[in-house]
Amino acid sequence: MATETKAIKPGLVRLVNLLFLLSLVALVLRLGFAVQNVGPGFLTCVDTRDALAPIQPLFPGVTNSGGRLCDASPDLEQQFLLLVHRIAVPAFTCAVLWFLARWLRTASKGPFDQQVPVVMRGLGRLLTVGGVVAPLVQYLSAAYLIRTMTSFYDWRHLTTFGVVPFEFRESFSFTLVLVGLVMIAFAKIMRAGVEMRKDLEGTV
Amino acid sequence: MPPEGEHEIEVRLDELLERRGMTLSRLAELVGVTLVNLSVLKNGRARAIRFSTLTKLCEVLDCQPGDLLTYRPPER
Repeated sequence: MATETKAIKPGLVRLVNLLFLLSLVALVLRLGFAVQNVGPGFLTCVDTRDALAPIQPLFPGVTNSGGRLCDASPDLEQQFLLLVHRIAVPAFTCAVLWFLARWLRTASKGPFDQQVPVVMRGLGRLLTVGGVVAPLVQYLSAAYLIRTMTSFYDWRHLTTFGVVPFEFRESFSFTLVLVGLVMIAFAKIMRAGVEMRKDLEGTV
Repeated sequence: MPPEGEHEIEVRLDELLERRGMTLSRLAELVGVTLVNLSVLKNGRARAIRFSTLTKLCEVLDCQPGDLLTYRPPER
């Protein structure tokens, strides 16, 4: 039993807890910064990497320079879209670290604790679904934000100019999704192991 | 089928020990099973018994598995 409790070193649990807290602080700061900058006089900008450089016309108050499309008088919808765009991936990262910390905490009670495969499956699902959804939300919010700034908007053009791919491509990781699937499969195997262990309990 | 973990098997270790004038700790020593595990078996709290343990118990107590374990149908 003693070796079981030492299977997960407390240092590792503390490290992941610390990473989670740091990511949470970063997320809260991002949220706070976004809320603070609400109102007239604050720019709402979206990075277009010059993909929209030739695009005209822009709506009044919108500028397109340096690979950024900015609105000098953003409305509530634009500010909301920008907020979603900025926090989608950090929120996902934060959720993953929280699940990882919870998983390690559970496993530190003993690798055969019944909750270990349950939390592991949850983490796997989060990685698989969130790994696709978070970058997708980030891209869609950017795309809708661009739509509010220029009348020259067409999904086909965005695709052609590469705006759609770069937003998604930069955040999406196929490896992350694969890791999620592997974790789901491994959680199933662990669950069988936990059941087998349970059967052995009370055996003389 | 009884619920999982429940059973109707009676362990008659007490009787066998009494007949042979042997203590539980001495039996544990001879069989090579911990006293705690043997107590679990004696008190009917064991969920399963290994064939190897059963073999050693039968050897030491000079009995058959049926002398040690009996099925007691539930009262209706």
